[in-house]
Amino acid sequence: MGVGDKPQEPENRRERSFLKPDEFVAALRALSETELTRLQEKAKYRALGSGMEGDDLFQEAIRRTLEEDERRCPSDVRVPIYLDNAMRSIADGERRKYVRERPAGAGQSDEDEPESSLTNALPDPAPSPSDTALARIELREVLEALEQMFADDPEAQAVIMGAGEGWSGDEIKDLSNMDDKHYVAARKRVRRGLAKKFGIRGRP
Amino acid sequence: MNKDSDARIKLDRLSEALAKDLDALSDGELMEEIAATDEGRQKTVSHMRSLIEEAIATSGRRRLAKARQAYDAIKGKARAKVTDLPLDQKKALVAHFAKDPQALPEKLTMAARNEANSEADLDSLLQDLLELGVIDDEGNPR
Repeated sequence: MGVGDKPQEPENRRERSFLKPDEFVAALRALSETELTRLQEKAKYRALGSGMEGDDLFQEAIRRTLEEDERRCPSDVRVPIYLDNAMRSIADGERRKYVRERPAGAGQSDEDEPESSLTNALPDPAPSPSDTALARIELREVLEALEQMFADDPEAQAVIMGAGEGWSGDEIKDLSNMDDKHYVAARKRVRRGLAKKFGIRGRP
Repeated sequence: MNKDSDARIKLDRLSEALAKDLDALSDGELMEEIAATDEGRQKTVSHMRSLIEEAIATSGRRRLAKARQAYDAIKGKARAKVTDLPLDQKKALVAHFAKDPQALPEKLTMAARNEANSEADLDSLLQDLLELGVIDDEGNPR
């Protein structure tokens, strides 16, 4: 470093920049057909057990970004990725809220933090439009319903159970004796089945 | 960890795994799986675009309503004390500034000298004086 040169600021200490609301709106309007299609599907999966529909979850992610100072899209993150992470965070916030608001007498623990998302977004603490009374369907019933949906499809069941446990694809294949082809087909059946059956409020 | 909490984490993991699956699909594979026909594709895209516009519009309305609420709160609070004074007192105050304009902008001085002022005009003038810091919120000259 020469005399008078300023020391370089470490990468992680530089201030992060965010899209301004009008830039975010412009980016939303510029989303491509495939990005929109992907987001619509992801919204259905993200909404699982949240008590919200995929469409509502998608709109909620947009509204909160435009209305809340603490939820902004970083300039260096692609908008579809940001939206997916925002939906994940909001949906987990809804499920977490449900666990907190369970009827009296139900035990709970806060030790189980969700696994971090790409942007490490915290679960959303803000109130949402979901109806708490309707939301009081036990989350495990959602999981049970998912497994029931594929009661006669053990490979699809293995995908659901394995993904829920956090197993890798290889682990799921090994533990259920599936080859690549069967595994890919089973995951596709799960995706299509869920998108079809769980469109309403993310619950069966 | 209770059962619901355990289920919450499992649902989060499952949604993540399925979302990642979609990312692994090429654009062609995605369209084939989800919207195989042109009609289906157009329907999906137009539906999503309308959701976006709806969310933007709702958000705009909410922000405007919030701003209006904040504006009314500030205005209403300031207006309550000064404009609640008896009419005679309000007239006397305005007359005082009409005679002794000092730092008042010309426009306000002219308004203060206008004898045809209605009570609403007086209130508006007092509000202006308050905002300029010429009087306090109870009408006392500063």
